[in-house]
Amino acid sequence: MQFFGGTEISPSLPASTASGNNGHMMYVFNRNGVCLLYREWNRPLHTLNQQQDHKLMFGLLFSLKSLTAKMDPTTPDKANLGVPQLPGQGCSFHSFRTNTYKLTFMESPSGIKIILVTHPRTGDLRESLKYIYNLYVEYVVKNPLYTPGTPIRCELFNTTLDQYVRSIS
Amino acid sequence: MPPVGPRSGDAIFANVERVNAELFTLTYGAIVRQLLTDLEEVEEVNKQLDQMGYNIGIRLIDEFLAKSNVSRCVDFKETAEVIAKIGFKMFLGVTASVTNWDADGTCCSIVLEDNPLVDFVELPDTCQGLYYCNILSGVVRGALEMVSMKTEISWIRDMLRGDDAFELQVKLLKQVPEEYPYKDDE
Amino acid sequence: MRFGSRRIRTCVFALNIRQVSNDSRKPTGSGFRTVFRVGLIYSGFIFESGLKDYGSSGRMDTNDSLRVASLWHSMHAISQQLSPISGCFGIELLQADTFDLHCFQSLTGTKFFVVCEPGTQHMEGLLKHIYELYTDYVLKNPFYEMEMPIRCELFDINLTQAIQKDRVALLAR
Repeated sequence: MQFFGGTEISPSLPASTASGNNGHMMYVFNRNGVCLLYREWNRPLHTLNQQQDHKLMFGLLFSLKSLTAKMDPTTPDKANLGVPQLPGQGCSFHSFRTNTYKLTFMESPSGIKIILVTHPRTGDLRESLKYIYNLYVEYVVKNPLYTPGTPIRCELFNTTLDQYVRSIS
Repeated sequence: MPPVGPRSGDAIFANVERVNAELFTLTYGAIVRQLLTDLEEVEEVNKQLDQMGYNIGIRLIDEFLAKSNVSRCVDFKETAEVIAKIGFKMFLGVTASVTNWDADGTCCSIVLEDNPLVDFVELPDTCQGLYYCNILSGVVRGALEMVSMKTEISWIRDMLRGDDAFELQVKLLKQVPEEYPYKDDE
Repeated sequence: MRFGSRRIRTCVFALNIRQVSNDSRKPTGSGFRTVFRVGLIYSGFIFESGLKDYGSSGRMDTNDSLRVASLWHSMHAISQQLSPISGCFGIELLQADTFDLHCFQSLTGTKFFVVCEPGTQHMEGLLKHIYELYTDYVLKNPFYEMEMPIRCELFDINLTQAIQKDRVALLAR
């Protein structure tokens, strides 16, 4: 893959064992709950309109995070459920699974949340999300015409992303 | 998966794309000159440089986090060290040190012995109030704001004004907790 | 993961959450709001067993468990609504930084949790077993009042045994 002038993307592309169409959809949110990007590859079921869907997703992550911070069995002193925490404070989570899908979640200290929904049997995707975060930095953040905090409209990013997600097994 | 520690500033610096330092220095000089011509007031130029730096900082932070493997910035002391040791090395190729902590750990100084922005620069008498490197304070302020730290940044020492180093004072005003962003009735 | 000298941290909650007919199944746009509405509807059907014995620090009091339970309940419902394909039954496994949470839901809506060290295997089996114990020693007990906190000594004893057996099985491996 050729990036602008060969800038290194780290971590390097995680190896995939087999390719398949395992990706269902992906969300990118910023700290203020703005959905910067929504990509959909395979989603036969829609229960809500798009705006409600994004809000519900963000709310789910937000609440699950306060739940895990409260339930953390390794820390004795925890704040009450739902008390606002500093970014990076408290125990967070990186994925959950239901019988129909698996959701992998990553949050950067700058408040960027990346959510990838895949087939329930996909493996550990934490490295893949880091890689996607790097793509976001290269194609979106470094694009001088992109205004931070606004929805991403960047064709090059979308195509690269689609291509990468197709390779995830 | 074991947690990966932060990468060193040198390692990242070795791997990023670089441009000729003189081209960079000259470009920055030209920008400052143009601002002085456009805005006329030195104070206004300081403000504008800070704003430009801020706009860079709020973008640069993601590049920094993505490349450095830093996953949490909760502790201000740790964050200041990381900025000085990894951040400055990664983007400017110089190492900064952190000193002069106050008693409650909310105020410190970042000291730069070497600064590629000021090669060839001599401040003329007409620009004595100019903080030539004010873009740097804006970058630091913008980057920290993105990790929820509101800071106030001022120059304590400036080599262009005859001091022996560059010293940025970083004062933590507050850390903003994450709130649920949506209003209830929507 | 450490083998041999591994410490197994297992905490079990069984939650019995009453089916409600009002709008708790249709969360509004904001997840959080629903949470607290649901929280008000439910009241004490929590059963906690032997939490302190399994190395969990910072044991939750009843109020906290209640809040966690109602929060979990709505998260479960929302996760179904966000499913890309139909037929979703809610969260089965939540992987947090310091623990895994396995959840088993019976067809009647009772939810069983196990909180364990990341990567601990065979928790589904343990949960199914606990479900059997629950049907035996709780539901079949004529003095157990439906939807009330479980205070059945036989259940406690068998549960402790099941978890210890699980621990032995893991150590032997």
